[in-house]
Amino acid sequence: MRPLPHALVGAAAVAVLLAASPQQAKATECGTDETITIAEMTWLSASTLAYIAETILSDGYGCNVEIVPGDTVPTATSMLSKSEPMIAPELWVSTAESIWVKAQEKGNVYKAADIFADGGQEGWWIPAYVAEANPSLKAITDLADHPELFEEVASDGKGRLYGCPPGWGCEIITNNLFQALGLEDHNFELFSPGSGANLKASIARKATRKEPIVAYYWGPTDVIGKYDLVRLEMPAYEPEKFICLTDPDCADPQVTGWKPGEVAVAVVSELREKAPNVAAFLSKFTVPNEVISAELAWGDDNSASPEEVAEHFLRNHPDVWTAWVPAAVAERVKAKLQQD
Amino acid sequence: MAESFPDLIDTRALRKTIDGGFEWVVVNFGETLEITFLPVLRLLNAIEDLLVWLPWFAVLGLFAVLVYSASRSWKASTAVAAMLFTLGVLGLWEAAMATVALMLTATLLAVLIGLPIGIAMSRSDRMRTVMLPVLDVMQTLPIFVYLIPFVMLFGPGKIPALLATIVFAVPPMIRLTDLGIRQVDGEVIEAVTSFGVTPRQRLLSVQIPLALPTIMAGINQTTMMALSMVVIASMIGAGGLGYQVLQGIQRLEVSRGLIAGLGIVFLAIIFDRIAQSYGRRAQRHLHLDS
Repeated sequence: MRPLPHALVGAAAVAVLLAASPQQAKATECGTDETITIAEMTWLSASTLAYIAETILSDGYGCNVEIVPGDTVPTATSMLSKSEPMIAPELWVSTAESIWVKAQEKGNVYKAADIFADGGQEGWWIPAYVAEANPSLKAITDLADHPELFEEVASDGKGRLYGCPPGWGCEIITNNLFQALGLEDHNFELFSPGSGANLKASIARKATRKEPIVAYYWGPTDVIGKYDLVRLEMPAYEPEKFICLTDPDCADPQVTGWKPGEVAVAVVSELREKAPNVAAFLSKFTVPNEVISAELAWGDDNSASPEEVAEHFLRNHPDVWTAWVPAAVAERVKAKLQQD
Repeated sequence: MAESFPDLIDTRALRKTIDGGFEWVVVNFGETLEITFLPVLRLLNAIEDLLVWLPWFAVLGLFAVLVYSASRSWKASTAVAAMLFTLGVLGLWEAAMATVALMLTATLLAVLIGLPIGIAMSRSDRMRTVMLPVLDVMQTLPIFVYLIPFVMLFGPGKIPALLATIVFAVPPMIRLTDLGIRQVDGEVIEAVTSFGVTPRQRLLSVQIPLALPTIMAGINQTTMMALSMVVIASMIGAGGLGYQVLQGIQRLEVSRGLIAGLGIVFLAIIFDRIAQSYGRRAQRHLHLDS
């Protein structure tokens, strides 16, 4: 066997050292060399946020990170019972209400931050061009004066309100609100879209044709960003009236605001002790609704993967994310972005 | 390590082109398409309104008479009346009538479209070679692939539901019309030709009547397939029994889904009986004559 030339051995040793040393420096920053698991939910905004967190943790803090697939209820259940995955960046608390309450009692999962600055927004939306053309249409209470605006070929001369798909929680609320506003007497019909896909396609059809539409939707979503939808204002949220709106047998529905959706960055409590720096970042992990909607719309337009949307966000909105982390961490993430 | 397939073309650009083209069609022809199919919607609504407007016992009687005239069996006729009555008792009357209207319109249009195409296929082998793969595609393409684009083109509701139902339900009509006419005994055709019939006489008085049992089987299958589409059609706003099933599934209300599902089964049995009886009568008629 030929002896290895000294220079080569030396170079290899340097390479090993070079590779190892930043690893060690970063590990102290991360606080733990355990693998941090992040739940990637099935929809685009949640998976994008998972990849944003993953990039910041691995490139900025040097943590070992793993993305694991999940969905609201299964992930919440697994966090409650096994403290795994460790981070769920977009957990809709209302969807997993009972599990969330149990986890709070047990104390092994906490809410690090509200992921969306304005919370999850549900309501009735109109395209921005309709809002501009009709300044008198600002709130849901103004709808009654504008049935003619939302007339359609197939709606028999009535204004059409695209309601919520059957079986979703919002279906009952929308139906009751329709009744509370007396829209039926003001020549409106409540059209049930039958499915989320159909609702999306109906909005897409109208928006690409620049025709008016008023429809139930929720945000932040790609649809809101892509078609530039504006939420009709609602009166302030009153819990008592709202509870009646969620009841299919509500005797006398009253108009009130939609309950703001609580969407949490859910984190298992042990991460706080193990990796305080990471916990500090997660406590500031909040995205403005319009920014995330716009990013999702970009993703939809370019049929981009969640990783690509995350990268696009990191490149184009440093103003948002650099506020979450110390300057040194932000620099490392930026440096890594430039390398790619 | 397995080698991944090379990127020969940029699929993203291709997809963007297709999406862009589709959007262009929606922007420029969306309204025209919706208006073009308005008469069909009116027909469907008229049928539905009529069925709902008629007193329930009148509809019940109508169906009973229809079954009796087809089967000459009091038993079948009573069973059909009993099933319709059960639908009413279960509170599904209006939803069932909406479904019947959708199904009848779809079947009617499928027959109007399928019969001429089937006849044309039976007369020209070239037409047959072209049509068979088209029919295969229509029957195997996942419904959602064209369902949601139909909504973009025609607006949500009954029109896209009806069109999707027809796409799905018309192939058996076409296939069996073609098959029925091709199966007519060659000697019979030779005999009538030797008597000097015109091609039109041959088609209308010999081939179609002799192929009638097979054509009826085609109509029967079309009806059944149209009925099986009602749940999916309700996902784009068609209403009816399918909507009740959908609501039941989405809300995890097993009872609601089950009852409405049972309603669909009843309708299937009723229409199957009617179509089959007519088919059998047509057959018997032929045997008596020949």
